[in-house]
Amino acid sequence: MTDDRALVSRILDGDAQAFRQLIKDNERLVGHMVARLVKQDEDREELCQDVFLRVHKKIGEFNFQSKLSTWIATVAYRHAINHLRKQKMKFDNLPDEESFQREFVSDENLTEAMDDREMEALILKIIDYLPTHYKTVLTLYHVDQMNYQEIGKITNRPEGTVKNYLFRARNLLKEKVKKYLGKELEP
Amino acid sequence: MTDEQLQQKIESGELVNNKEGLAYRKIFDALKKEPYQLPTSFADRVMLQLNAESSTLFKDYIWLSAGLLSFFVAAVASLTFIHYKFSWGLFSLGTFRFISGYPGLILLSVILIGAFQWLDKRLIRPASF
Repeated sequence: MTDDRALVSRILDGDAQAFRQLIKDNERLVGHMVARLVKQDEDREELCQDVFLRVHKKIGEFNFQSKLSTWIATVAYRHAINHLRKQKMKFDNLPDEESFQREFVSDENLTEAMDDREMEALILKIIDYLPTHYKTVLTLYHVDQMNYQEIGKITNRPEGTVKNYLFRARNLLKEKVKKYLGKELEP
Repeated sequence: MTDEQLQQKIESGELVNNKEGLAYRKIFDALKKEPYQLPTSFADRVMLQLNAESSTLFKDYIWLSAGLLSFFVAAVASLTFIHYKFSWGLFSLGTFRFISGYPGLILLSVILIGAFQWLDKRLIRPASF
């Protein structure tokens, strides 16, 4: 937090190198967040740039109530959600649990047995079909190693909800992957 | 064992040798993968864009200052040309003297202009390409 204060203070004093440092420290986090939510490759880098330009503009409003990286992730999350909104993509509500699970886990288009690398690629592809909130929570928890509290701050949801989303998302993925494993284990 | 307990076991690195355990192991491994990596020159590109924006803002201020200066010079030149005599009272500028009798009109104008500006900011969004 002390480092955050020093860095923010230097940025507010107009130190360009300090802002470059902030970008370097957080570009992976922002990239993960945007990339998981926005599928179009051509939009991703531009959106990430917009996030940092916004961070630069709003850095004076950061009140040190959280880590700087958590605040930046919040900016990235909101920016990505706004982008989805502009693209008129569905993201607001979680789908009806039962029907979504039935559809998501259906064994249509199952391919033949696959090796580990193919399985990993498949899982990453399946993640794309999860609801936005599930994808966000999975990414922040597993890729960026954030805790429930930090994820809750970013997504503006209670810790219990975050925990539940994480459990549900992994459970859905497991049900889907089990189908493929079933194929793999067949003689 | 509940599904939640199973997830916790796999997350803590315990081996669970059944189909569910194997499925979770593969999922947890895949979830650690970075979904995307920005180019190495990303920070430079943001800094360039930031500098370009500051430069545009600076130019905007220059144009604004030049406009205000031109307006002032034109006003002074015009008043000098017509030999205008100042009298320091509210709404004393000849043609506009009649406004002093309609304070409500001025107030309404200010409110309307403010409301239009506010609505403009709220409702008109920049085009996104």
